[in-house]
Amino acid sequence: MQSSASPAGGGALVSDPSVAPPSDSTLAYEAGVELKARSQWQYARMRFFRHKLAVISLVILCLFGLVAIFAKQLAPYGFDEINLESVDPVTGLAKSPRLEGGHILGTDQLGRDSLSRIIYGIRTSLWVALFVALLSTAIGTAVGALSGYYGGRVDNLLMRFTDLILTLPGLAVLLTAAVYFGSNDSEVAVGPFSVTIPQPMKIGLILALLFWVGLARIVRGLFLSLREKEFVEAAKAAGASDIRIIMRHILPNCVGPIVVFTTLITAAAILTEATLSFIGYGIQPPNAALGKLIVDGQSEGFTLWWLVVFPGLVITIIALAINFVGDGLRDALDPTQRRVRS
Amino acid sequence: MLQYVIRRLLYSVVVLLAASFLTFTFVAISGDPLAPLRITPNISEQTIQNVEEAKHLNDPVPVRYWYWLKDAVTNQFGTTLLGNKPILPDLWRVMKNTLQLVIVAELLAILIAVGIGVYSALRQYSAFDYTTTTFSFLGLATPIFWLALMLQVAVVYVYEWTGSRIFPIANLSDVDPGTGVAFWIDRAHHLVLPVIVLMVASVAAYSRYMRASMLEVVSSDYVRTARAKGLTEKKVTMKHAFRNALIPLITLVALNFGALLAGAVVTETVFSLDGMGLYFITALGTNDPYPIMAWLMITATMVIIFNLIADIAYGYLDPRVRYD
Repeated sequence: MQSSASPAGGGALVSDPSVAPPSDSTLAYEAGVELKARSQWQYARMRFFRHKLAVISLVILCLFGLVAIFAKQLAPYGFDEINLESVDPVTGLAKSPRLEGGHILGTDQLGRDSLSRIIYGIRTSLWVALFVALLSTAIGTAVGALSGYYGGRVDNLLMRFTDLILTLPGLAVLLTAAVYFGSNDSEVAVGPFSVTIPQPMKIGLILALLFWVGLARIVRGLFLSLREKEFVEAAKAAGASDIRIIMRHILPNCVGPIVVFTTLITAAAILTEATLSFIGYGIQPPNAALGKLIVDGQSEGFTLWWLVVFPGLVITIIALAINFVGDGLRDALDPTQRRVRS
Repeated sequence: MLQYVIRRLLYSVVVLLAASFLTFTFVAISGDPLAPLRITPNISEQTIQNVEEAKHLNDPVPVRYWYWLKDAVTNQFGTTLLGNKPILPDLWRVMKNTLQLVIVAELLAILIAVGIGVYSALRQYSAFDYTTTTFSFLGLATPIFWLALMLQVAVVYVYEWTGSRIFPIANLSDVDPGTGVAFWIDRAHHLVLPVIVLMVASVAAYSRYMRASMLEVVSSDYVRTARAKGLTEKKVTMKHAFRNALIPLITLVALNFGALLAGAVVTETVFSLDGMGLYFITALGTNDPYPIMAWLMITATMVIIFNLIADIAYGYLDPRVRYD
């Protein structure tokens, strides 16, 4: 199993809230200005913007996000549009990448424009990754918070479930689930309404159901240590309800590790979804996905290298950018784990 | 200690049973393993009913699970649904192949990663540190299957330009691999590309880990003490820092190795290697629950065993860890 595919055990991201206020006053002295009061978030933002690679990566990610949103407007051709302009004696309808002629990244053997297919692929892949990230963060945080705060039976159940998930090889479970539940759209009746769950969303659901486990463990660990702290005791003494303590007092102290782990999940989701699609059990046509484009390209033989190279490059760039943003966020939100000395 | 191991193993059996029941239900309720029979024109309805009868396909899932469990325990995981082929011999064969691939790749990966990790921790923020950090970020962001395909594309292009086949891009052996030394040379030749692919992810992950762990140790009190009492820098690094920094990595490697025995699914698929991963993918394609179950049970057992080894090793290497 490729270890990069699983975000479980993301390392110790625990920050001790008692040492959280960072002493960045030196920076103000260096700049020769008067010290002015800054909030935690202003400090975090400053630290993030000092991480150059993270900022560049964030810009790149935003660009890809825009491409995904405006795929229909940006793609020069339709996703399945067949262009019969010219037939090459060697490669048939397939054209290698060239600047003139309208197909910058070439076409496949059916004469479909590579660039347009990649743009639609980015749309699906990013959408799935975002869905996985949000859903598994929500589940992981909720379960981790509850079991860490209350302990006892909830906690026991969660830990047993985690053991179960960790016992089975991750990619195998994903594949089995994808084969048996994820191969087509499905109708779900919710009361009088019938909702169609699109196939990519089902792949996202399957990924999310596996990815929340690691986060739940981390959040549980944070809650276990934070619930013993004095400020929680004080809040209890002041008569705050459990919900209020969890939401207002403990959770804000966990934001750093949660956000960092979410970026790990997002990158893992992109790569795992591509892998599933590559093996053939991920996102199915007519939906485009970057991994699927690579298999299609590979099946047409290695002479059409551009069909394999470019979608893979896009996946790598996206995953790399997410990882760098995650690194920047760790520096920003978790000062105890700083990578760049300030 | 012994008590701890026994308790862990007993607990693992319970987890395995729960996991196997879940997966069995999962596979049994959703696929139709007889689909290839049903579309074969000259097989009668009667034959299909006979197979259904013989394999208890019409029974409720818990009953079928019970039959499977009995078969698994008393009859070495039984046979495949169609063709009645014994499952275990096939599994041993693919596991042997996977072991060859994984052991070589992991050993090389550990050696390289430890070197990189230690050196870049000792020379933090040097050019070497930045370069290896960048490469490990790249290694972690590259989809494994794509990397494998890129290598194949490269080999094919070299072949087209120069006419020489530098590395085979598929299979474990040539059609006629020979025997003895010739066989192993041929096998090694076939394993070069898969090993490189497998190593990339491992080296990237391990070297990051090693670097972090080394950095932590180097700034610890006992290393400062070792320096303060006048030990040579070499002794401080190798004896006091390096040994302790290695401990967390050993745990990670043990865990990862257990998972890798499940087969490098992707690598084996791209290079069509007859290993655990490809076996599983093939089994999935046939909807036959029995090979899938046997595979899952064996790999899950491996994961459990290596988890246990990781924990025991940790306690052995770091006496501060106590079992309770």
